Amino acid sequence: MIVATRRAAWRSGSPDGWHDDFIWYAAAIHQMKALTPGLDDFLQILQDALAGLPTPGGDPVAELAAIAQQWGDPMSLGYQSQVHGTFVDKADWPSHNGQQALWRECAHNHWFFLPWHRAYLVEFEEVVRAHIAQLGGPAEEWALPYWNFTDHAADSARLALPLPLQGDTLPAGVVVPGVPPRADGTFPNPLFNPTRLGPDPNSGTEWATATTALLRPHYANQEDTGRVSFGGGVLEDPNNAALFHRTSNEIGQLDAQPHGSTHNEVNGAMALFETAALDPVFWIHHSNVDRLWETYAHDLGHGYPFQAGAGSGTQAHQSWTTKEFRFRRADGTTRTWKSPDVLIIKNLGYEYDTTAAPPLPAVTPTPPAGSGIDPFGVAEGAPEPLAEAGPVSPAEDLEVTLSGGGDADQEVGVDAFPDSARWVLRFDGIRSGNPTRTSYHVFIGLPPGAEADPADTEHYAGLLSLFGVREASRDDGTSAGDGQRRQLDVTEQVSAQAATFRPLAAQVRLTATNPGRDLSGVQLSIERITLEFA
Amino acid sequence: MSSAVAPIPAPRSTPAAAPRRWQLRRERHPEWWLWVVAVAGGWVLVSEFLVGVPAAPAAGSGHGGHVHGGAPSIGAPVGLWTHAVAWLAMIAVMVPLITANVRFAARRSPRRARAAVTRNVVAGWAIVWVGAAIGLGVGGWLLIGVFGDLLAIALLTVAAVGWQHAPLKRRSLARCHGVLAPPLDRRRSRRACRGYGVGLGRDCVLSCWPLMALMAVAAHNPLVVASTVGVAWYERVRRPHHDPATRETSVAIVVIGVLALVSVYLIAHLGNGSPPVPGST
Repeated sequence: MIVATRRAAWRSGSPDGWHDDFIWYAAAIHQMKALTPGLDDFLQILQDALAGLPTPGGDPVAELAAIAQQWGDPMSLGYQSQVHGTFVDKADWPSHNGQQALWRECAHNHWFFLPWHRAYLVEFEEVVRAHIAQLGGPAEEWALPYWNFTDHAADSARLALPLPLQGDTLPAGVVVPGVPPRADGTFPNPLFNPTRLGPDPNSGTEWATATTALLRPHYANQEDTGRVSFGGGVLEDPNNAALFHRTSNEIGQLDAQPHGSTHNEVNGAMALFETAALDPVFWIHHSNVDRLWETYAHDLGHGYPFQAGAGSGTQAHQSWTTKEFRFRRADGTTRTWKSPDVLIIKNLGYEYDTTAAPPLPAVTPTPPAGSGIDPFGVAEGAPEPLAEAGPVSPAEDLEVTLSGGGDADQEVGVDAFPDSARWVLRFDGIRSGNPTRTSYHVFIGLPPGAEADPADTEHYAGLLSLFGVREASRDDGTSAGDGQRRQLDVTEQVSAQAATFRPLAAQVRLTATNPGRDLSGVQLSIERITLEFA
Repeated sequence: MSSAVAPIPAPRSTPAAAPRRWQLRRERHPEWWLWVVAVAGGWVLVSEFLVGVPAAPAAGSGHGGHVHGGAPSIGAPVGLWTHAVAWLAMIAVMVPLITANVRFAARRSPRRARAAVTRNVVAGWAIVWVGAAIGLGVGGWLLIGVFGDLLAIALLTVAAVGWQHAPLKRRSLARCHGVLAPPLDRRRSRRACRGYGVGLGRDCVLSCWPLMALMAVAAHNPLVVASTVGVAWYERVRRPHHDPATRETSVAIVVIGVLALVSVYLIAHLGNGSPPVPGST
């Protein structure tokens, strides 16, 4: 097997950024778009709907579904995008080679997020290679590039979209095989997507930062322990499709940030499960997320779940090893993956040019008690909520006091709690009436009126990323309509403020990362914010 | 501290002892007793079926009654009490369908409130089901009175299959996955949990009412009940928004309907020594 190398999008060697892997990526995407009927109309309707403009039929979801149900060819960009999510009812999913499409399979908010998306990328890469081969290109050596935005400390330019994704017209001198010229002689850029809103140069670096995720001591926490992990909460029942596809309780830190926050930052089609993979940036974004898993497993020495033998034989282990991810292929066959199948990436035919971690703090946070005994937190109880606020409806900024106990308890300090206490800031019932357009910086213990600066590590708790919130808020039979949940580990912040912090009267402030966007129509609400300890 | 106070944890001078395995298990599953309720419900249904009740004239039909293998016919007034118990038992065996919801609400609450949260959610849910049971019980009784056991079962089987394809069914089923993080304040928590339970019960009833009615007119036959709970369970762990699985569940419901018809027919036949006339049992 040839092992192709996935390379950084932002790298030297080509002044306009159009490295060979991007040339052929664009060529394949062009072919895949050509197999996606109605794509331009779809994107126009989507763009109008996201901007709050009326659409021709007045029901954008129905209009988008009507177009998408034509995308039955697995070799098309449309089909591949709908594997991630679709507005089309299953009864209307198209067939190809006698097999009905296999759509809306994406896994988020739990520990299968990473293995499922790895398999998804491998399947997509094979489709791209098939197109490159048809064009006479170097199919076997080609690999998906990755958008190395998480390496922004080395060069802040990496926070911008890679150059080949910018602009709707190919630069002079760039030739993408198979792309015909327009009437005016210019060439359209297949990697451009007109719906994007970002990245916004003024939205800081946090959306693109993987530090918090990479510092998590566990890949996954035991089901429903409600902590914060790198990859997401365990799902013990591999057959519970309802949990697998949307409603599990613990999103992984990497899933939330930088993965989800990047979706929000780029926005447009990227803001929704059903449309994200139509944007070519989706695939190189996920390539980077996948690379960060390699960083965590290898460079940072955490390995893969159960690799060290701990936890074998448990329900979690059974789930990890038996849960199947199915993908329909162009020849009508179905390929089935399981998590253990995707752990050695060279066996999948690719590697990364580097998996080195971005700069991390010299002193890493102390792992929670029990980490060395059980990597999945079986021996730990669920955090205990102490103080609450809500419901609240943030727009640009929000400042609330989480309160608990009686008046006499407001002055109770951190010293009343065990030294080993871990602190979690939890957001339950996050809903939105429309697709979200921003993430939120979260500060804890910041005095009223004080400047909110993400560089203030004493008070900055992290990012509240909202990718997937809209999908989980729909009350039309496509979801429970109860929104999503997020949690941040604020142990370091509470410890840093130990002298002044009052857990039963804790200040929490949210500030939008993209205040320049129109946030008024999003109708975001959070049912409950709690400070919890364990 | 006021009554609404969240507990202040142990100060550092009294570090908590490491919890035992059973304590952890119980903490992970504060809803454990719902499984006991479900098993008890199942036991009641099986017992009623095996022990049986005397034959009685079928209300409304004017025809002679028959023994349902010991199980009560919904049309038999003498079995009213038995029916009420059987309905409660049927509700009990459906309880596992909401364990995930109950568990979530409990584990998002302070430890000392988790038992109350569990009780309040279940109480709200059960109240709706008890009300629905009365409505469905009376409806079933009328249906049997007009059409007889066999035709009533057939009609409800058709209705249950049709309901699988209704948008309202799909939405209600999706909503059954909804969870609640209750307020920490005790009073607000009680109100929120009961309200949540009521909402959950409403969605469950809207999702499953034809199946429950089918179970009732099938004389609470444990086989029919178990199969129906199986269908409801299958629906819960599928993705209703992705794959309503209406074809699979429809086929299963038809099989259950046939099973109910055969069991009622056979039991009546064995009990009376002659087969009942369809539509005039």
